[in-house]
Amino acid sequence: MREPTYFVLAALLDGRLHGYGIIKRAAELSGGRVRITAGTLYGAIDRLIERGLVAPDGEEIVSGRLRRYYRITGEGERVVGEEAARLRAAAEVVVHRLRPAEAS
Amino acid sequence: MTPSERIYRAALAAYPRDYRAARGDEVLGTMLDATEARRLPDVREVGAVVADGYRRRVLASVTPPHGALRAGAAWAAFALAVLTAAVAVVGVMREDHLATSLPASLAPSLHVLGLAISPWFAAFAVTSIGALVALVTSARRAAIAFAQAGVAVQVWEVAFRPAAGFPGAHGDFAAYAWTNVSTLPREPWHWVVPSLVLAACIAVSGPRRTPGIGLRIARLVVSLVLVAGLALAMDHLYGAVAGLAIVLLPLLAAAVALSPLDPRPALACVPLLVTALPLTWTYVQADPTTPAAGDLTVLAGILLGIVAFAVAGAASAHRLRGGTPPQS
Repeated sequence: MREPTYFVLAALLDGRLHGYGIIKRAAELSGGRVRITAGTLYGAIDRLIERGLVAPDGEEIVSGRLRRYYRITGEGERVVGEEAARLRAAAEVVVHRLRPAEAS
Repeated sequence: MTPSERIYRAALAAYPRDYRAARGDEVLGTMLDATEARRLPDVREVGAVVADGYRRRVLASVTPPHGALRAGAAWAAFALAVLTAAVAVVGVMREDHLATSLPASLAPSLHVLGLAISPWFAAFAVTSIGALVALVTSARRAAIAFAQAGVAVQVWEVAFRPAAGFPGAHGDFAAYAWTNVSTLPREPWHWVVPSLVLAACIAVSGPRRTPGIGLRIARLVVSLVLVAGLALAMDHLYGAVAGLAIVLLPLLAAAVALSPLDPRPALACVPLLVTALPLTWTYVQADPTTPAAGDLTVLAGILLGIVAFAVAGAASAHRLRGGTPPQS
């Protein structure tokens, strides 16, 4: 799973968000490191919708701008959870070796 | 409308029309929200939208089933046409070799930016570039129109542009080719056959219909006639281009004929091949300094380039499986 995709799913774990909301939340969660552009975001979202990990969830117009909301599906929560577990396992491989005393 | 919004709206043109209609406002709104604090438009946002738009256009032309295969075939045909046309351009530019041997109607008569250009070549270039650009942007109808224009230019050249000094009955490039490779006086009319067959083939291939066994057989027959016509037109060919033609054209024709895919992107390239190959061949033949080993290197390079292009196209289509707009 590519990093922007991972953070898109992570951003949606706290509830439905519109496009810019996802971008902002992903930046917050990553400490400002992951900056997703609109082009990247909608490429990722459409792939996630196709895989059934994200679903559109209503829309509204705010000051003339169309905002469509998205929510994570049960399958999406499962997939991002698995990815997180994989990342944690991969991280521990290194952490154990760097600080064997602390990590055990 | 702010300058940023104007530029973002322009960038949205990169998207295919139906996607832009479904999602354009939403993408624009997000871009504007994300760059609210900026006075100037964000280059990253524009770049990402253009890249995403191009990706979707490529995907729109390689819809499943067999999207990767279709993309590979389309890109291989595209690469082949571009390479052949490029060599042909170099050949035409090399006036020193060609000016004295080409028939009058093909001889360079105009100099633009140091390039020697004949009217025929100008028409060829316009139709070729148009067809290639249209193919790249997935504008299939435009590609087909350009390809048909290319065929028309070629037919017109062969049929109606007599050039003095060549024994062929119609005195044209094909006649030149004939007299150069053979002492037999032959009519060049069958040079036109592949083009006519191709035009008919393009005309009858319907929009995205799945071909039944009858249509596949018809395509196979058409393709074999196409290859036979090319072989007739280019007998006694030798050198890199002959190898290229002999190896790749039947493969291309068979792939187009037998595949369950929409053949039009690949077919649209064929007129370019048909038109560019004789020029390429003339160039190779007219250059006495080209050693045989050089021919082989060129041929190997071209083949590798085409294979790489096809694999890259297939891989990207496989990797970049696009989504559909949400129906909310």
